[in-house]
Amino acid sequence: MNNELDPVIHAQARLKVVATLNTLHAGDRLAFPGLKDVLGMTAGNLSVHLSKLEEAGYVEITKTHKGRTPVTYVALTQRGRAAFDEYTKAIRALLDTAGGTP
Amino acid sequence: MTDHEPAPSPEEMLRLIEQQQTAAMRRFLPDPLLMYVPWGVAWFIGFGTLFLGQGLQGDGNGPLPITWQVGLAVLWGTQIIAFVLMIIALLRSGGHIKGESETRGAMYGLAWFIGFNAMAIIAARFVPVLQADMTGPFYTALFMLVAGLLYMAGGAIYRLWPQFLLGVWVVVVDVVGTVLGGGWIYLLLAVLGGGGAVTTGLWLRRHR
Repeated sequence: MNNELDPVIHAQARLKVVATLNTLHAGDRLAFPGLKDVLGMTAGNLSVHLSKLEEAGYVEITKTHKGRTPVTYVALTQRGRAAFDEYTKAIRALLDTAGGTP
Repeated sequence: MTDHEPAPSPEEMLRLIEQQQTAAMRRFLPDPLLMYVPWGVAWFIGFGTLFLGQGLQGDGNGPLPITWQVGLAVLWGTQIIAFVLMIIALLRSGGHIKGESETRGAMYGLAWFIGFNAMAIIAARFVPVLQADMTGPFYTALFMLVAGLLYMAGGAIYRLWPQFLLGVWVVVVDVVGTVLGGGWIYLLLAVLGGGGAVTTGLWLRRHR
């Protein structure tokens, strides 16, 4: 049954990343340090997961400068949002069927 | 590395999503306790002091010998404290999110600023021709009308029912107080208006 679940999101760390970004309003981006803090991940670990999500086209990473310091912003793409919706639907469906047959 | 951890059960994944989203909201949205409760307390103390001095008749013969100047000073003092606490809540939550929300927040903040300044200028034009005992209720009614309308607008912008309902509540209390006349507006805004803002803050905090 698990093969119905999106493998990109079906890993705790990336699910947490996507769930966090999904709370943002469309058109908003989250600064990398803010995301790192709320997830409690190391910068290196988070970067690895973000690249995987970026490869899948689920997140968009923007690099800009605030004065001289580089700042990275992260946002879910439309595709990422849709994938997260699908994933939560699939999980709920799994739970519903599991609840019916103990 | 984390890729190879065993996939948890659907229940765990769902719980993980919920926990993470709650944590994100708490981190990135201003604390409702600081956004609403201080205003409720300020109105309770400020309008309450005005009422105690002015009385139900609104003629300055209230239960306590408090002049309207003192009442107004208390109202402004407590509201300034509420404003500072609100700014602290906004600063603590902000800075991490860029984009649409920033623009929206700036426009909304500007609406409050323009609303109150316009109201003060317009009111100042009419106050000289009012009876002396009408000046206080007149300013109060306009001030709280602007506040109530902007709470409604905020509720619409942020899709936040409690904030919208607080706006409706403040406007209703404001209108009823004005229609009843005298010092009723102070009494009602202190108890019902202040109570409404405190309730909104507590409710939003509990359900965030």
